[in-house]
Amino acid sequence: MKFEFDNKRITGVLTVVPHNTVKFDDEISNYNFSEKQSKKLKLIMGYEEKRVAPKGVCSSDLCEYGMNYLFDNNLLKREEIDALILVTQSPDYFMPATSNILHGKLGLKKETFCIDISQGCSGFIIGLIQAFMLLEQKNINKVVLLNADVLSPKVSKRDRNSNPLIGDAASITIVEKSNKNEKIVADINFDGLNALCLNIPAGGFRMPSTMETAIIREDEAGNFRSLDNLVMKGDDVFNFVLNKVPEQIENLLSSNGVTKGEIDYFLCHQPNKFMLQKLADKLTISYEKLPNNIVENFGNASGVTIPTCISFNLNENLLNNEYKVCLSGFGIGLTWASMLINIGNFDFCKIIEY
Amino acid sequence: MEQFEEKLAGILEVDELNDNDILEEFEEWDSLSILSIIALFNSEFGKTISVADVREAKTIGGLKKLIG
Amino acid sequence: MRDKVVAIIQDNRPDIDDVEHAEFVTDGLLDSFDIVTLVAEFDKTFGISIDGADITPDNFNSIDSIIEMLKKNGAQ
Repeated sequence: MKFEFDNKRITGVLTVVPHNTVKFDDEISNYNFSEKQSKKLKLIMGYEEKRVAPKGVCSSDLCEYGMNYLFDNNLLKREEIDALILVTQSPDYFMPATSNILHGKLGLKKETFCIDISQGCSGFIIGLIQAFMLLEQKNINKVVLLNADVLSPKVSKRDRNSNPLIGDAASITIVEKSNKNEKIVADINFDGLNALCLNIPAGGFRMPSTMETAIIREDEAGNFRSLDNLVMKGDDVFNFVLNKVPEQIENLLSSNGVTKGEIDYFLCHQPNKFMLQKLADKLTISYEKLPNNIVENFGNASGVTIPTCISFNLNENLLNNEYKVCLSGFGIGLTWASMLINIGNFDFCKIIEY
Repeated sequence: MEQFEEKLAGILEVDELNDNDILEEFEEWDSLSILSIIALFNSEFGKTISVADVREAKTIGGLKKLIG
Repeated sequence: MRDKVVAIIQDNRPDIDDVEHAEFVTDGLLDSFDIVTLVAEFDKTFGISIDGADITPDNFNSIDSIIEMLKKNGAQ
């Protein structure tokens, strides 16, 4: 589905990462890689270190911490928040919505519209689309978009498809109305037939968690996980991304009369280094223009990787400069979403530690 | 330059710096120290450097060369 | 090219006997991480970038299919 907006802008991005760091080298004995292979995979996939929330810390805790940072530093006022969107697939509870819980924790006004969106890898772009749609309303002038996931508790430590990569994080993006008449365009596609390529089988209503679902079993590749754990069909997702995403980006650019040369950065979801390098090669763009360094520095925290990529690679440069960027998120759903937007002249752009 | 070195030492949480010190070997070295260094270059010299620039610098001496 | 390909596979997986005639994927000898490692090595050795869409089990099942895929991606 194609979307078009104008007179909207992002005015700040704050990323919150847990202080706690886990290194690939310390968990290497969990996997059945040979020593030689693990050294090579470190470089190829970007296995290095990831940020993991301490036990008991939830997505809303990271969000609350970041929001309080903004309040305390006069970067945001409670009364100004007209809508709060939380994009997460690790909610505090099945019910109520976690954005409602945050509404209470943050002491927001009763008019603040709160909504949870259950999306992951494409979640930043889907959240932005929701924010832009809300800003069409005359009573909504400032939207807080939260992307947060603490999925590490759901990942089996002996699953080499996921454990080396998955990290935890949260981001806060302020989205407002703007006078600048710059078009924002996006395209989002869904493939529900392959929905279970990325899945946590048990724990929902389809298959409630029981003692049975907690039993750890070995798969054909020598990974150990239970039905309560995240499972990723890595090969299928890789092929899906390399087949669908370049086409979506090329179409978005050409149908809006924008060339690759005019785009300053391609800021993509960060599944692993290898996939992003192949994506850049397929699009014939440089690795400088399509950063691939978030997994090795922080891990892959699902929908938070794009704002983390913005905060880490563009950082303070976004305070005084403007860039024409292509955002692209792809993965769980299966969903793939791309957006062309100008970003810059932010009030803040930082990473802080919880 | 002295102020810069002092602040850099503060980011890396050490008492003194030598040009040959390897950045990755500082105990406090992580991705957030990279960001603090980028911010430092911005505030001290009004200079924009990238994450890649900091990584390629490899040593304290390499960082100083980035001042230009 | 054949010699280089055989050598790279033997170097990464010295435990595989008879690389020349093996059916890597059908016989469960190479998994996706092996394939990723091989792709990175082939890319470096031949100065190419194998198209992601060509990284499929079929293309990696035998020395012959690997060579065909490499040629398709510009290796000489």
